[in-house]
Amino acid sequence: MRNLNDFGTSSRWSNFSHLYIERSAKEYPLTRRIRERFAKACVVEIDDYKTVFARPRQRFQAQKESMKLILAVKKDRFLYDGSGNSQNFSFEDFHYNTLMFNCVYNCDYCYLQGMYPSANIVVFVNLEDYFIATREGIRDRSNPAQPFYLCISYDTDLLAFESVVPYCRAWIEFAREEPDLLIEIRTKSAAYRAIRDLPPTGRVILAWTLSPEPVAARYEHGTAPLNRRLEAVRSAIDDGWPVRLCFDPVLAVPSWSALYGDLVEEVVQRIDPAAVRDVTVGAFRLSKDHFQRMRRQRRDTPLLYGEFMQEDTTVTYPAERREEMTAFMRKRLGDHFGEERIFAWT
Amino acid sequence: MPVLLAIALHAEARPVIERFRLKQDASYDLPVFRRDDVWLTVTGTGSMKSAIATASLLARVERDEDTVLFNLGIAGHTQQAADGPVSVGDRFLAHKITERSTGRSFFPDLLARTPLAESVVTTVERPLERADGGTVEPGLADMEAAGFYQAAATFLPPHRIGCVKVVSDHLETRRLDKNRVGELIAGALDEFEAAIAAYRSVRDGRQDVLTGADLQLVEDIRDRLRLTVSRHRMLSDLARSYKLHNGSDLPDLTRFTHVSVKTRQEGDAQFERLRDILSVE
Ligand code: SF4
Repeated sequence: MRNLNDFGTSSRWSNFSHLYIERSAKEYPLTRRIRERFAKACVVEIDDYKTVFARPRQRFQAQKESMKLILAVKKDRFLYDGSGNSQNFSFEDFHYNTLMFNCVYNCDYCYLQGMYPSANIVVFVNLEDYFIATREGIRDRSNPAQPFYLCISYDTDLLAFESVVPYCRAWIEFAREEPDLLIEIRTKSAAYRAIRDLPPTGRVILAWTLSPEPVAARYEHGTAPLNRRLEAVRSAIDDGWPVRLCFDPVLAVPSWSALYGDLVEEVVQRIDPAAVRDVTVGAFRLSKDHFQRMRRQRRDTPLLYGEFMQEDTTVTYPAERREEMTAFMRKRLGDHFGEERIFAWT
Repeated sequence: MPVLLAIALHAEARPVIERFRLKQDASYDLPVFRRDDVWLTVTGTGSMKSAIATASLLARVERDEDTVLFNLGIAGHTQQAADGPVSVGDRFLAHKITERSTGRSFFPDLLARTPLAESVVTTVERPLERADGGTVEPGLADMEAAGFYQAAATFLPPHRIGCVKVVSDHLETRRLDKNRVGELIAGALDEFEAAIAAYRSVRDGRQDVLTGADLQLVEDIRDRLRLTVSRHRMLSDLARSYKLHNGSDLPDLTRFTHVSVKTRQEGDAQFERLRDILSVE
């Protein structure tokens, strides 16, 4: 008898080996573009993305090593109200949208692991419907004295995927037409080059999440190293874009104060603080449900184990630790950026 | 690490039984053949029979998180015989299984890379006639896959379920003799084995920092201290936290497997002691 274990070494499929395409998504230009881009991928036609995305018993981290792409048409909910776990920057009309589910990166602390049943990436191809809903949102906003503030890279890293799905570009062009819109595109990538040919606009804030390099290397899998993120920040500033720096999440790793203190020093040495629009700070926090689900899947990362407390539906570090971290960051950043440009989640 | 196989016909199963030198296990109501960690059940023809036998096998076998389950069998192909690339004897791994009677489709999760080409499989209630070939999605037509898959997916993650079909005809409704069926399956066995090996090589996710011995120790302490389910979970997480933050093995906790507690308060006191020892701050 052959021993099944001796049957050579076998491998996994690489990312995007398979494209699952909703029948109704087939004719969209983005679908055609992605099919060309992944011409060797196996195409599987589906009726509804949920039949693939929401299968029971999928393993998020196993799928992360072989992510599939699902192309779908979003039928409703083109805008969401901003969550309590994010800064609203004093905007009354604070919204986000979900152009994609999931992310090409795989940060140990990412709440998507606790939020979605699958790590496969869903891309919604009907961009026009989002634009229509956004125009309506702008028109009906509650405070016409303020812009309609919209995060388009909220539950994902849109710029990291720009070479496949050029949505940042499309939204920047859209924002040019909409004087009352203010968009944030947040990233841990160095993919600024993918949009660098576009003239800057004050209606789009390019935001980079910055972490100490040891943290990025160990816990933010697939993301650009700090050095490259800072190069991208510098290019964007030089080109005239409004840039936001996000020190969020600040993680209670060993020697966190030394690591994050050094990070601030490195940033201000390489980036002119006066050229930065604003800065955000926030200690690590998650919704209780996501946290519990993440812990069941991630029994390998110190970031999810240790001292946590629950406040309403949010899980975060104990108050004293959190306040210490936030105050530390505020002080260090305040020395360079001034208090008024720092937005902190406390 | 069990490998489970659900095969409709004896004629299809025979080459597999020979290849793996499986022996019939008469302690089952259904025909079950096994050797070491390979189990094969002959399900009978049709979706319902396949589902019942598959579920019954899954319920009887002690599964672990590496268990894989395959359906293997012959199927018709919608392409006309001389009209395209697919020939009798070609084999495919299903990437979409549609149940014609309900219109529902199911998707095995294709994480493992196998040597097999892939295809849609439509499960029909009775053999599909050539004239009706256009009523299903181009690809394979069988009579079991949808039932098999639905039963399997009740127990297993979708990347541990595979469905392999060997083309036996192009929807001509002539009966195949048993020897021919056996030959077709035998010709697919190298690739089938490779597919099983590929499936088995896929881990379910990140490995728990707690080893089997650690988990056993935590369970022993739970039993000794009569911990509630939530306390047991807390203790496991404290142990994880200790290992992850200290980068070391657990401290010696064996004394907690010898204590005896009579009241809840005593259990609580011991638990607090454990918490102090495992605390990382
Ligand atoms: S970049 Fe953001 S969305 Fe992507 S994995 Fe990391 S935390 Fe999650």
